[in-house]
Amino acid sequence: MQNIDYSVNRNIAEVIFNSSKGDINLFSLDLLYELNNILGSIEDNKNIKFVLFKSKKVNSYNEGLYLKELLNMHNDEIKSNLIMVHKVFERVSKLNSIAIINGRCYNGGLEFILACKYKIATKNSSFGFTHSNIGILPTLGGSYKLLSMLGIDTSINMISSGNTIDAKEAYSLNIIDEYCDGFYLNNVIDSFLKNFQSYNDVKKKSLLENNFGLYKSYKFFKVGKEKKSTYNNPIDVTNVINMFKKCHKLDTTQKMNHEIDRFIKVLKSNEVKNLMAISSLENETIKKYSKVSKFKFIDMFGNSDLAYSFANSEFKLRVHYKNFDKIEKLYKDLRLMLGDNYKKDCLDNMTYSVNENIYHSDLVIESIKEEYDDKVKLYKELQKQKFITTIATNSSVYTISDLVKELDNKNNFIGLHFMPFNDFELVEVVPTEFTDEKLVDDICTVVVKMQKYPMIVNDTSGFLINRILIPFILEALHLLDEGFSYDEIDTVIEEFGFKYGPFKIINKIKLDVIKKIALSIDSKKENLPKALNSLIESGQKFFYKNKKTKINIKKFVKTNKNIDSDIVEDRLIYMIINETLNYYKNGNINDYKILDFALVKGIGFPPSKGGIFSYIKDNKTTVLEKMETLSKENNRYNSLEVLRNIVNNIN
Amino acid sequence: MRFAVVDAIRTAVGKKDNFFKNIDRESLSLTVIKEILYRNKLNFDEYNLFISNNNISKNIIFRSELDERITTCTIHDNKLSDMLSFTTAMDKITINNKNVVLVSGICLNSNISREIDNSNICVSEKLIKDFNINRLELDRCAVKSYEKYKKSLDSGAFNKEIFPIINSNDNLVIHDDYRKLALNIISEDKSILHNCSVTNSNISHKNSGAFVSILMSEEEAKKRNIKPLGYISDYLYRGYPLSLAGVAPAVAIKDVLRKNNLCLNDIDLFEIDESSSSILISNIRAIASKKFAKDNFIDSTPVGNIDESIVNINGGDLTIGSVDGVSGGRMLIHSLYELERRGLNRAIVTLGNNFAEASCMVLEIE
Repeated sequence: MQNIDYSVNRNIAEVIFNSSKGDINLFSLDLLYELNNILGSIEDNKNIKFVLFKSKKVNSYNEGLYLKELLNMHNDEIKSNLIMVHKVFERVSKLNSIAIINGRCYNGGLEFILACKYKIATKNSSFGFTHSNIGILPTLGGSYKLLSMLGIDTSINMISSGNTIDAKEAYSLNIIDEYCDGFYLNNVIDSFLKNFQSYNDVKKKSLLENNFGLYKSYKFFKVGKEKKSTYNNPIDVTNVINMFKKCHKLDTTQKMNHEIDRFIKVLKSNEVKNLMAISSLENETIKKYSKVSKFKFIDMFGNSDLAYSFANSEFKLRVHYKNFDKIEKLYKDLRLMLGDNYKKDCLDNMTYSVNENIYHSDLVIESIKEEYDDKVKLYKELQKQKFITTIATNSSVYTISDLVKELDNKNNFIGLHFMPFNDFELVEVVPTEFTDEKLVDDICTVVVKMQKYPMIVNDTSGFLINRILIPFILEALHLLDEGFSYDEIDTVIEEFGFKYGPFKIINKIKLDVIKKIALSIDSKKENLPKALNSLIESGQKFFYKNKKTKINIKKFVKTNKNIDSDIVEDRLIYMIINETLNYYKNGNINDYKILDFALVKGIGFPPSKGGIFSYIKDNKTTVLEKMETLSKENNRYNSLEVLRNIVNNIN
Repeated sequence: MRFAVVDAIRTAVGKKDNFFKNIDRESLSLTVIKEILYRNKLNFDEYNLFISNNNISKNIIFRSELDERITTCTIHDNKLSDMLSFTTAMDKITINNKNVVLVSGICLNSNISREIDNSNICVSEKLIKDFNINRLELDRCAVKSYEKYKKSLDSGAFNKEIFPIINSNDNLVIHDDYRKLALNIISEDKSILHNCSVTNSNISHKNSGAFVSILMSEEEAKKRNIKPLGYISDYLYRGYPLSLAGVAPAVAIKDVLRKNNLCLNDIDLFEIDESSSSILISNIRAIASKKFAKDNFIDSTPVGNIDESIVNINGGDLTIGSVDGVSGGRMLIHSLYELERRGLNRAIVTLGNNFAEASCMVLEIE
């Protein structure tokens, strides 16, 4: 058979999933039909006492439904197929079925093992509903089965957060019955089958206990909270609670119908489509650069934010500062940033130093203050040392070819521009004409290993992201000039779905750097907003002292207008559209998808809206109308022609 | 044959509860080990022996950049284990042809009730009787140690040898946790035991810390074109009759000098065991005493009067506390940096424990 290897040995049947859809296991429909047939023959054969469900793929048990296949189907067709799957799962639950989990067990896979009577997992397995990251809730009975198993808090957290848990935690929650090292798996299965009767008794008991297991549900609650924010998670917790409330009153078939209807409704929405496009690009990038990294020892000059991204990674990081006081500050910053994730070993790979001699280094990342002379001086000193092989710079004000001009060795120099916030996962990789091609690849691998997404961009001033982000910020400052208050502008933008409002971003980049970058992109000083100059002159570089306290800037800028959220939203969002289209027009990157991906990962564009090209595609006429009116009012909006072209051609 | 000390550093010495709160032994040791690995040109896989005085050597190796296949050697954890680590390292270099050896020592005392060693009190008390030392001399010795330490701390004598570590409160630990001693205050201290002169102030307290150093033979260093910190030109680790407990360092000095045909004038600096005032005083007296020489030295002649201004010139354990298994390393490292700082050539470091074992090393810069 194509997708399943089936064999019977005495009274044990083995069903081994081996999907033909690549190197992970998915529940594609043909696999499920095969499973359906096999179940028939198992039920006919009365000698069979146990059925083992295994996976042949390395580190992947089953990662759920094959969504691409379902997207092209008719609603009725989807419904009938999913009902079939539910029935298959129900038949599995009536057998003495044992799931042997050897890796990622997500979504449909998790729902499948919930249908099995017994579950044994290896230590490297992980469990969770990752589809909720793209807006899809459990479809194959997961929602109500989990509810009865774990209680409401835990199951809500597990379903809505999209986080995964490891085998140990799954065991403590009674999702699995046994876990062990992969090496001993066969022994454990043997002993499980031998002592089946006693296991059965224990299980009944433990299930009883579990109904009072408040401690366990608390633990999961914590797990769910820790890991991810809900920024790219469109599912509201209230949404899930409502679902549970409904489920409670329904019988099994009604529950099933309810789940399937909800699934079909969500599957074809724009949000899910956009989220799927982005997650598929994420996977593509990771796959492209997932090889063994040539670099291991990384040296860094300046900037605590970068050190944060190296915490918990496999690289050995050595940070260089001028004195130890700054190192003390770095550690304090890191502790704050890591927050709950701070653990004993997570800074194990980091060392610190106050001298510039480097003997063990594969890559030096420079991220000191944006001063041309300081930077070039440092590079020259570094290039004198014979143990240094590669230098990368996190410069955003100067172009890489500018920085490389005076250096002797230009081949080993590359730009590596990180975003101001750590949760902006994009990293711009900027090769110059001298850079080795192999080096670009190796650097991208490093970036992927840091759990970020590399994007190779041209060496123009501002690269890609700052060309879009800085006009967006300047527009926000223009709005400040016109008398809107900054925290209200931030609220409007965050309500639109952005991760951070423009003034929160300013807080991180600081106004003087913004001015420098703005001038490097467009050298006309008179185009800059007045607020920028007046604030810098008065020494005010940011707007929020911390998350809660705002700084009163009425001394420098008059803010008296009541906020008109439509105007603010339009002007800021259309500035992003305008600048992206300008970048697209210059022919630097021609792929809509990649630019959209860059916007989501680089400036925090709401992922459920998918980036500006998806946004244009979803609201063709309104976009065009609004841009027309804006471009009449203000000559900063100058990409109307490009927009017309795109609106006509985009599908 | 001489041995090159290529590089050596230590952490600050202090109380676990203030300085190294929530830091485990591995992390404390790792901080200095990683630093020494990164700041030297030697490749990480060139180190082929790791000697340490604790049972977590392998854990340290797995968490550091060292090659996993490196041979480890664990010295039992006691007062002289640092000296034994060094002597073992040198033995292994000569006999087993190990090229590059990493010697480390760590001690993290958490037990407050063991703040002062009982056997140390007994030995000190015995020496006070044997050498007729009075209370004032003991207190003066302690205060002098503090004054010397404070003066050199202000002049930056310890800057090169101490590598700052970040403790769990994210504060930098740069300086030793020294105690302030003033004569008019400590003369009023009550004695620890009934009817004796040992007080809290003239005996050293137990502290915590770590050190690490890279050791190789002189030829190896020349072959690799490395300019080391200094050399260990001779060493000795020996047990003596128990009646010599506390003054064993004096005998060890005699033995080393005799073996190398050196006299007191050849030595520029002395670092002598300072775990209590009485031990320091009695060792200096024993070296000069004719009676002591007659009873204990093989040739029955005393070594002579040591100039007290070159003994422990920057203070010692009395001020900053003794660290079992680190103090010796600290004294050795400090002497090397101090010789270099003062432009001198030869030093002797000696340390004994309370069971009449002693170790003595001759250090040279050129």
